[in-house]
Amino acid sequence: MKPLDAPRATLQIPLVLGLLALLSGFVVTLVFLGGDDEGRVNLLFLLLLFVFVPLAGLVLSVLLLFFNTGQGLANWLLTLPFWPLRWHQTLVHTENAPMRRAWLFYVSQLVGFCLGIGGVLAFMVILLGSDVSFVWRSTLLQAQDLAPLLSLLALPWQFWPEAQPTLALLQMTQDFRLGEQSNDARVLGQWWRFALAAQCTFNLLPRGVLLVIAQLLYRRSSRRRSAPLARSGPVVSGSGRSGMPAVGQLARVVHDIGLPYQLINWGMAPDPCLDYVATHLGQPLLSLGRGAAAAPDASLAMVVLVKGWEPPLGELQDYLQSLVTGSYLLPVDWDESGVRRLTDVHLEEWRRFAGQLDGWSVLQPEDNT
Amino acid sequence: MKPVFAVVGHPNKGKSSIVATLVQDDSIAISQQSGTTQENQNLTVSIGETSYTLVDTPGFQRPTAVLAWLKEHASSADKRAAAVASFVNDTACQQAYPDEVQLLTPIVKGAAILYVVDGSRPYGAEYETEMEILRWTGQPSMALINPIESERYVEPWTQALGQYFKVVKVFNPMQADFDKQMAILESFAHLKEAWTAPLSAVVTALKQHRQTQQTDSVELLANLLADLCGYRLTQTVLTKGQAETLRPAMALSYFNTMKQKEATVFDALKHLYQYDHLDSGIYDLPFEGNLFDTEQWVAWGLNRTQLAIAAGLAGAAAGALVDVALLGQSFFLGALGGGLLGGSSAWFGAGHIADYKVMGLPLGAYEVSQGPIRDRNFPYVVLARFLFLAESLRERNHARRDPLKIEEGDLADQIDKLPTREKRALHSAFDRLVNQKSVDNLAEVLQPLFGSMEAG
Repeated sequence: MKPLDAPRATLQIPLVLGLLALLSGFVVTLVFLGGDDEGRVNLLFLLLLFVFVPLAGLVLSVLLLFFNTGQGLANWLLTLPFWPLRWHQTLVHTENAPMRRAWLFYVSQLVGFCLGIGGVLAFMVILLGSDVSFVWRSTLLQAQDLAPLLSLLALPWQFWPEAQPTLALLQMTQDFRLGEQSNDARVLGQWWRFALAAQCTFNLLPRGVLLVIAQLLYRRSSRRRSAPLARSGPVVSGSGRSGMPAVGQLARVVHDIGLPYQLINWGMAPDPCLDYVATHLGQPLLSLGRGAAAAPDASLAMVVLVKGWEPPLGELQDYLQSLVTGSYLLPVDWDESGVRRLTDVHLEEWRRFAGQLDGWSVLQPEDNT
Repeated sequence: MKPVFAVVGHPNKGKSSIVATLVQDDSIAISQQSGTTQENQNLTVSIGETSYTLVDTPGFQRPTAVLAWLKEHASSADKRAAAVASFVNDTACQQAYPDEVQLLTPIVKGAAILYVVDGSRPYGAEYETEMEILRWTGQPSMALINPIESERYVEPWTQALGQYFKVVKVFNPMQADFDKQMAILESFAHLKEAWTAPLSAVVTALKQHRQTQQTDSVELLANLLADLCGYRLTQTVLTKGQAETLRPAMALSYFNTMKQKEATVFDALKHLYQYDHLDSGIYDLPFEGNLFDTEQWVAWGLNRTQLAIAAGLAGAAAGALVDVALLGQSFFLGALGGGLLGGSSAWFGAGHIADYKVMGLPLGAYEVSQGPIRDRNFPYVVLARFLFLAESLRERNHARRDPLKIEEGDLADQIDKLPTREKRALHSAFDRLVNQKSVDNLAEVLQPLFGSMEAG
């Protein structure tokens, strides 16, 4: 099965259209330069083909680019019904609008450039293989009227004197179909340099420049599409990233100790909490505060009351490890309204902590689990 | 020195969450288990020409012992900062108090302090040891109260912290919107005069980037809509029977590709908002109606219309030769007649041509296709899903680790809020899309929807 292959189609289309344009430019120029029965070519019509039509096309292209409409020669050509459906699909639906516009502009310039190249090739072929007689005819214009215009057109190639138009040449090549005709083939053929220079200057050169610009625009548009997200965002660079700590062994949970015990109030719990402990475990035989000078009684079970919501710190671990025997950790959660149920997350945290210590269990009275 | 802030405090009070939200990085390890941050993480945010660094640190573990050590090594207030520096560089301390050495190292090197506490839990006097150690460093500092569960104890915390820190702010990294994030960054600028300009530049650049994110989102959506609405899968087969056999496989491939296209754009959108580790779930795109089509075509890859045009042109060309031979006296009837004859023969005879065989090979074949989608609601469904994700990502914070379930937002409401002209342009653009016509200004048409999202 073949999904639409946009990259392939975007290569095929310019290639095919470019070749067709080259062929069309060649054929049209060839036919045009065939001239009349005596091989005479009307210079004014030649100028129309080589200068004015390409110039109009160029201006139109630039205007269309400026107004960003996405229309152009390629767009018009591609709306014709006989292209493969795949081409239409590729163009119409699978490219984003800015990219499609840039691409169509590029193909339009390519088509224009290939037309021009085809024209120049045909011109050279005709010049090599045949004698061309350039004449001009007009009912309204005289050689004096035409000379300034042609001189103006020839300004860009002043460095090429042989390709400059002269009033004398104009007068010598003016043709009247019913009047006397000039038959000096060398004179009539002199216009070829002017025609070639005009074609190169007003068609190939600017179209080539536009082609390069169009290609740059298309590439920029493609890059933007493939990486639209990497324009101006913040870049976060870092070192020493941590992973999740290992879960480790969980200590068992007991609900009652059933023994006389001593209480170490590590969490500095207020009286309501101590009452809660006494209610559930009975009064402790000994009660010590955090940092108390007196040492705990090693013969009694030990209950260390901690703030249930706080994570266990290293200093508690140091303290518990300094005691001779392990006993019970009692995490309690409270606020000013009294004792609250310890959350599962906090209970697990304390079980994990006690699991690392030797002989310690987590104590949770029955109604607080 | 560029702005550097060490985020310090008790373990599990949301230091990493604050860092993740401010640097907009969802790869930072965050969990409810304490000890997730085991060593310093230096995260430098570079945007445009400027940057700043947040150092996520492990929590205090033995503050009482550390303060005792410091007191032993500093007889007066002028020696406290030096004592902290000695502590950090002392080999024995590095072994005994690795967490405190880690967290104090960037501060000794000149980082400002961001001290984080949980405002949803009661104040505890044991925190004073930590605050005292931080005061000894002599570095500019700010306290951030993170109301993890509620703001219940923010007031007592503010009272206590105010005695140790000049600036105390409440900042919830899970809920702070973009403006609050920028406000907190701006407040960091006040800690050290030299850092005001670079931090202001960072804030300005981040705000501009926020706009760019929106523009890029619109582009992504426009591409997605054009892509999904126009997607068509084709295959050439020799018989109608083969076409029918292929039907389920083509449908599956078509739906999978459509899903993949949407998923790819969603990933791009997540990446745009710097969510590269966000899990999201979404139900399958709805596809209404029969999308399967069997179109007969004939030789040389031309379908019936194309063949008729080609034959018409060939007939016209042949007729034109006759006209030329008659020196135009036929009034171009040859070209006209030839064109009509060629075109109509091809049009009506195409079905027969397809059945002919040349040297055993069939001249014709069938092009079967799946799609494009013709359901008028389809672009609205795609739009609704995309807008929901875009809105969720804009509102979400990088500290969150819960998966995101993508749904269809209330699109009708959002479209209703648009001015009539914009509403009409949207409907017209979507009509064109389902009718397989290009919409050059699609991004432009979609932009107001993102504007209303921002306002909302």
